Amino acid sequence: MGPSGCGKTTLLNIISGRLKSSAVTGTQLLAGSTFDDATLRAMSTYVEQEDHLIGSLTVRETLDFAAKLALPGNVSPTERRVRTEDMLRDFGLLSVKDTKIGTPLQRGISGGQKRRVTTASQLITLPKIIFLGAPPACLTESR
Amino acid sequence: MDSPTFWKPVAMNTNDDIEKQEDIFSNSSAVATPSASISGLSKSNCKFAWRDISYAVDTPSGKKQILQTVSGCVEKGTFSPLL
Repeated sequence: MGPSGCGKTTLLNIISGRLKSSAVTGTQLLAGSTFDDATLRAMSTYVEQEDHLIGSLTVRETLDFAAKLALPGNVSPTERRVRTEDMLRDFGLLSVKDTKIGTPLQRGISGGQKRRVTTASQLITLPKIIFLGAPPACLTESR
Repeated sequence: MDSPTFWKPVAMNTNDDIEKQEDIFSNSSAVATPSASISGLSKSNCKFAWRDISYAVDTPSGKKQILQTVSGCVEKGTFSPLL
């Protein structure tokens, strides 16, 4: 693993299109062709290293909120609910689906579960490319 | 606690824009023959590639090179870490 500060996150920010600067040079290719920002934005998502969740919402409410924000308007409420349930199941969050995320003053789900909720919230649109700033253990452990 | 299962992406049939992007992945004519050479990324079977990425920032003590000619790629269906 590269040492802290060697540029891993900077590179991830550049290739994911989050860091735009005239000081960045180089080429990016998708299936052998160059592409514009809109193309990458439409088919990718970026999961940040930190969890930015609303402590007063339950896990299910968090994913449902993310689905309402991220999914196109032509997705029916039924499909949105199915998508939310799929994410709860796939990320092992069914047992805490009605538990609040929690705040410093109100105990909620664990840190690992928060990481999974954050990741599931970003994957609810089923993006083709996923940039993970800090992958949850459930995606990195051998199985 | 529930045992998490690995996320399996499926085709999204509700968003025309995303469906058009699917064509990029399935368009074999856009991908040339496989090559192991990093310098030949555009002619490899890499689906998402970056080549010669450099990044420098100005500091009070002069220009600091953060990244210098970094190249790499990921293939469809793979989980690739940056090391």
